[in-house]
Amino acid sequence: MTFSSLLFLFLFMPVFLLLYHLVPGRVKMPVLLVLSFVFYAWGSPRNLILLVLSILFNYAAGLQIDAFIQMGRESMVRISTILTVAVDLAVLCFFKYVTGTLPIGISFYTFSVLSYIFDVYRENARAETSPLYMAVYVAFFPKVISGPIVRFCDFQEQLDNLRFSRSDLLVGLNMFLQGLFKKILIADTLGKAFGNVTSLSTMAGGTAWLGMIFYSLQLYFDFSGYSDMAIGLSRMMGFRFDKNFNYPYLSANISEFWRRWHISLGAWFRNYVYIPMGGNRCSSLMQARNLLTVWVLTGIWHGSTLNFLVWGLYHGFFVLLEKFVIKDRLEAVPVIVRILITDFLAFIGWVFFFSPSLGGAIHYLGQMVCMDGIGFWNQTTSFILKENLLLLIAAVLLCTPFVKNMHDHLAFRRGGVFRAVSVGIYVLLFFLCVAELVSATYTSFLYFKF
Amino acid sequence: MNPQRMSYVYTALKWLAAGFLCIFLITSLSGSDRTSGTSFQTMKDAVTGACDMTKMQTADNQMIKRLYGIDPGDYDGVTLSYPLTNMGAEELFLVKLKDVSQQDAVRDAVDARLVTQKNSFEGYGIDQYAMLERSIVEIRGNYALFISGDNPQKVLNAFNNAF
Amino acid sequence: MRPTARQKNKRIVKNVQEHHGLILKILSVIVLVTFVVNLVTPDKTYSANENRGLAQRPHFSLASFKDGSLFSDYASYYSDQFMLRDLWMSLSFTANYLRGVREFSNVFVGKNHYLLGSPETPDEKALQQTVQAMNSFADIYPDIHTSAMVVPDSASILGDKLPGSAVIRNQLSDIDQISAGLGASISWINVVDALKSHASEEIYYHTDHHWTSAGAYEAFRKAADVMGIDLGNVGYKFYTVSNSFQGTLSSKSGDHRYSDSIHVAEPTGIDVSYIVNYPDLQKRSPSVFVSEQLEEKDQYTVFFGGNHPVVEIQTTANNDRNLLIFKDSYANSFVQFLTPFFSRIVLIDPRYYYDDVSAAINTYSITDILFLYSADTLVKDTALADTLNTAM
Repeated sequence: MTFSSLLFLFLFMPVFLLLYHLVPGRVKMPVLLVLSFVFYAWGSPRNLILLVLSILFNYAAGLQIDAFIQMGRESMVRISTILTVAVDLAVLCFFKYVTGTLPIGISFYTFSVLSYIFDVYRENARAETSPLYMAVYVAFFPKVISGPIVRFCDFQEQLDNLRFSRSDLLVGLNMFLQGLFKKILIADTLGKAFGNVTSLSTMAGGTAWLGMIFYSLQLYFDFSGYSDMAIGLSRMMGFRFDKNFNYPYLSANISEFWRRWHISLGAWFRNYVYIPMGGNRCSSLMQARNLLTVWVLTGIWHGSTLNFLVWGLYHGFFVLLEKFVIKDRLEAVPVIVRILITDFLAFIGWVFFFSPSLGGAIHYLGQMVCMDGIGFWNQTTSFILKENLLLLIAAVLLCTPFVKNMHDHLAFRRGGVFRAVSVGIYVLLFFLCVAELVSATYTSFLYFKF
Repeated sequence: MNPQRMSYVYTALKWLAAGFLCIFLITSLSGSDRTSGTSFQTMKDAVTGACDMTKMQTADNQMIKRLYGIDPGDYDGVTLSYPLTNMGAEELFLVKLKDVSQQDAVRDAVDARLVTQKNSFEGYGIDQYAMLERSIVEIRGNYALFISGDNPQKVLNAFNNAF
Repeated sequence: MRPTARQKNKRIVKNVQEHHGLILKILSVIVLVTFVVNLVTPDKTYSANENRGLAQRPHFSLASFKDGSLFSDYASYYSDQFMLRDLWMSLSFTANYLRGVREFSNVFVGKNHYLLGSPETPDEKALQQTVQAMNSFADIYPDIHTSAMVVPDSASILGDKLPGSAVIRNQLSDIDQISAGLGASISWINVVDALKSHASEEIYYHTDHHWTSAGAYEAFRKAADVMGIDLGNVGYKFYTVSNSFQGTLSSKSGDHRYSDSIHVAEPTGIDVSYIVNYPDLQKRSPSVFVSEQLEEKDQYTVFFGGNHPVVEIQTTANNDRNLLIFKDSYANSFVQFLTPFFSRIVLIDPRYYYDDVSAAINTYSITDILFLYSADTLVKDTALADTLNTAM
């Protein structure tokens, strides 16, 4: 099931919230687990079996490793951890490279269970004795299908101190709604525009550029919108997770970009790969090796074809360049210029993301420099731009905190009629979302195939 | 409970789960590649038995060539039942392939036929179009089935059982 | 007294709480109302606006549960039966139109409330085979006068009505190519110029992909020359039969703001009557118009009640001319002008026709053949070639 669907908004979510808040405290977790399983199994009941098996396997493994730690048997601790991680990765790689179709959410929940094993191994968290809590961590429906990737130690801490107030419900709902608007009204609409571009067999250069911009914006609003919905839903239950995106298109360099884009993935790689390998507390050569490893892994996590690996290396290259060559020599350049250059580099990177293959990506880049031979701007370009101009302006504005700040200032600081208008706008936007859902087969969240 | 003893329990549980994981992976592989030993006549009987044949007529080789563009001589067995009236959409098409490599050719032929039929009825024949939307195409191993009718699932079940 | 920072913050927090709280209340009411209404209202089977059946509650089966189709079918059922479905679709259309969209599902929303379908891209191979079949077929019957008419769609004739910067395929050059491919045994009827010169006279429907009776009439005038029809004293009186027609382009695009009028023509200045025979329905009728169809959604079916494999028209016209028309639905509103000039008119729609055409030509003693197709249908058609080839 997906958050941006009529079934979820009008059936699953209200039923879940009602149940979760009405049942007594001890029953809340089982209710959460059962409904998480229903949510996950919707559409592919078979894959639920895999999820449950993975939970059981890692549950037992975590306790086993912990027992060995208690017994002080260092070598057994290491061996059993390695074997567990090997099995978890083998399952992921099997579906990624052998069958080619990934069970939904497997990339995300595999990283969740790996986080559990690593945290137990490094004694950052205690092994979970309750299979219920273990299952809740992995199958937690707000994040099971598409993140954010919450580290086990953080989740366990939340579970230990779970407190709930009406304010959580309200703040969570607001976050959820903002995510919903981003996903349906901005991302899905950009998706249609992008679809119009890619349906052309030959295009003018400008059309190809527009397509790249549409996709780059769509990906951001799609993924950050979905993350907002996930974090909002979690908050509505009392769980507080960190935001997964922080206005990434305002980054002044690629390194900063990765501190603002898909933050939970970056944090995962930093905690479980980069730092254990030595991080930056070693020679420059080793640091470079560590960074390159992380970027290769980032690339292949996102996809199984060569273009994703190239994309990972592309970003890795710029991170290395900034760290070892450029350093702070570009500080004098006006920040707006640096932001635009960074955005340009990131957008070009996404061409490798949406193309089905390396050849496809190179072909598209060629189309951007008019290799189709019909010039840079033609009537089709004008038509596409005209149809989507308002959308583009809105999307670009929303890439900055400008709209949010202005809204919050007017609605919350000034209050009064502005506050009432804001409520009206929220309701109208909600109606528009329902209208879009009714009138179309929705665009599925882009990161679903991971 | 001392950790020593518990570690055995956990290890056992862990590898039991791993075993099931393995089984799950293996079952994810198979399914579509197996070929069937069932004879064409048996399959045909099973499939036509599960189907309401009253609104269809049997096609000769000429009609099969005309509607699907394939030559029955290339295959181990072909049967086609097409609508009695030109405004019907009930259809049953069964092919036993000589070789699994013929799957693509048959798939293309069936897809083209479905598109042609849908185009004929789009906008005019709402019930027929709806029936075509519900129709089932199943290409499995050395058999191909196309069924458009009131209860395509029943025919598909008969097909899978006989496979 | 100016508020302190703490007081300001308290007020902000209060505003936030009340803002979010009000939204929660409103949405809860909306969700509750929707839940109850969806539960209580009976399921609909058909959507007039979309011209398609609506998904019904799926039956549980182990197979559909295992492969997940039960869930996707249920989701389709839920959204198809959602309350006020048509209203939501109008809202979506309006919002998208306001933000600048002018093309909805390959239909352009143009000026003067014209909806213009995007011309079809030809299937080159199929088209080649169709033209070949037409030529070969005409060659077999050198004594039968054979003509062909391929009609462009509204976007190609009413280009000035397209929204700014819209780009469409050049269908007129596709039609030129077809006429160039047809051999000497087929007389070509060029209707493009005739239609273009009457472009401002409502020759196409605003909401449907067909031409109006007025458009068909202009084409008929041109066809009469090529087919050797002497109009003599014959004129036509046009009657309005509907002002509430919303056609296929409305359904496809979701734009329901405009309703078309349908006119039908009766010949004057000549005393001719006819009987229409529908073999597939085993029904006869004294008129080519089926007025009951005006109660249906697709009012264009007032002409002949829609498409049939074969339609036979026997008239009291005093000549020995028997016309066979290979057609798509454009011909349906063309035949109303032909009835005074042929003693027999036979319509064959190859998409539904499974018999042998050469037998039909003998049975009906055909003297004239007309191929009448819209370009959009012909460039992708395979049925005509099949039907002709089976007979050769």
